Amino acid sequence: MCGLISVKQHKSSVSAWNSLRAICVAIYMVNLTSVGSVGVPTRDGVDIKVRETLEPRNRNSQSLNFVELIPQSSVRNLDEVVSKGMETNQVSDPDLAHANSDVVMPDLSDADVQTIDNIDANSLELEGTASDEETLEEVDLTKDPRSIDPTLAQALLERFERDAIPLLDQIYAGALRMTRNPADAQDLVQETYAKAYRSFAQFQEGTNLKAWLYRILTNTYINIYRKAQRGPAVDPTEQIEDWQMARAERHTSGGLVSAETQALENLPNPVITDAFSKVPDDFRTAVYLADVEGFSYKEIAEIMDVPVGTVMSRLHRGRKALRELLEDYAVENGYLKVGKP
Amino acid sequence: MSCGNHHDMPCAEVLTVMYLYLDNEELPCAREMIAEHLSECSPCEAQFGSEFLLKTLINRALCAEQAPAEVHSHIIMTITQIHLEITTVHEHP
Repeated sequence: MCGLISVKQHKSSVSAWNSLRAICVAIYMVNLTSVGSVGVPTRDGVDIKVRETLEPRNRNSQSLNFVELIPQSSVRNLDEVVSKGMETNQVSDPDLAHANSDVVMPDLSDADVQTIDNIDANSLELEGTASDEETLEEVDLTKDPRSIDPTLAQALLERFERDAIPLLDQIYAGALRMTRNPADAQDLVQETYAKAYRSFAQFQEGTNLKAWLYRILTNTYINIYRKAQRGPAVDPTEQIEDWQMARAERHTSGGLVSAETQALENLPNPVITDAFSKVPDDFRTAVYLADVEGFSYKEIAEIMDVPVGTVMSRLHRGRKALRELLEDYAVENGYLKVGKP
Repeated sequence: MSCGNHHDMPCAEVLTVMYLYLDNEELPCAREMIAEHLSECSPCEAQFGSEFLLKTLINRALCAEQAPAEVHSHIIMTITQIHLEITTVHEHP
């Protein structure tokens, strides 16, 4: 079982997937016959190298002119324009518009706080546009595999490959920011995708798949990596903090702000990445979901399973922490001559 | 602290909704009111600009990550295995 497969493709081309799948089937069958078990072919036992030449993603599409920021219902970053699977990420439906009114006066009722251990795929119905012909979501693959019609299973696999696999790089990047470690990120993504596929029948086509995957990712991360390390994932003081009071509602002198701005702008990417990794977990994740993935507060609240008010608090604290880290670095390394305010 | 000039919407109110504005969230007022304030108040404009820059920097620095090829191949194998478990069980109950 050797050979070097060089898959040159943009995202996932059908033929490349088919050949890879054929190989995986072969490996799986060999495993079945030789070992008599259904274990996953391991990295060490399988000599497959897949080389991909994906086009670099360009998500730096935000306009620098913040005064003319795109309106609420527009897409936030290029990925959502490019990725056909992400056409659902618009924030224009009345449900969300209503939800956004919570932003000003967050409703922190107990009903908002759901149990973290329960991944309810259908709770992420950000858009109620699922097609009536779609019958796959009635099927739960994990409950009784014998009841699965092979053609339905095949359709599910194809849909997963078409929609979920192209989001892999993004989900991996998110996992890397959570775990801060490539090996853990790899395990986390692996686990996330396995879970996602097992419950993919429950995912409603037409709703936000990336948010759904992120929610599984976040839950998996909390369950696997954080349970042992810490106590409760949610700091109880976070929810009662008045995020608006936390920020000084005044501006510093214009000259100082522009000196800082200039200094921060000149910082190299690795410095920002490094500082970002020092921001506490929950704050970091919220900032990542907002500023890199472009999720709305409401979507982040659903992914992280916290009220919108907590999301706002985390964003504020995460950005503040990052700014302080960057300013410290800028002062220490001569990017910023002016003293900190 | 106010910039000292008169605005239809005071600086403190504008700064309160800064994140909502920059994050494209629903505002308690029209977006145009904020934009108008920013066009006539340079301290607020600088503050918004600095905060927006931070968002841009985060996006710039963190969005370039790609999953290693082995992550792709492992996930394909996992998915295929799960799929085969399902269909194999179905074909040979």
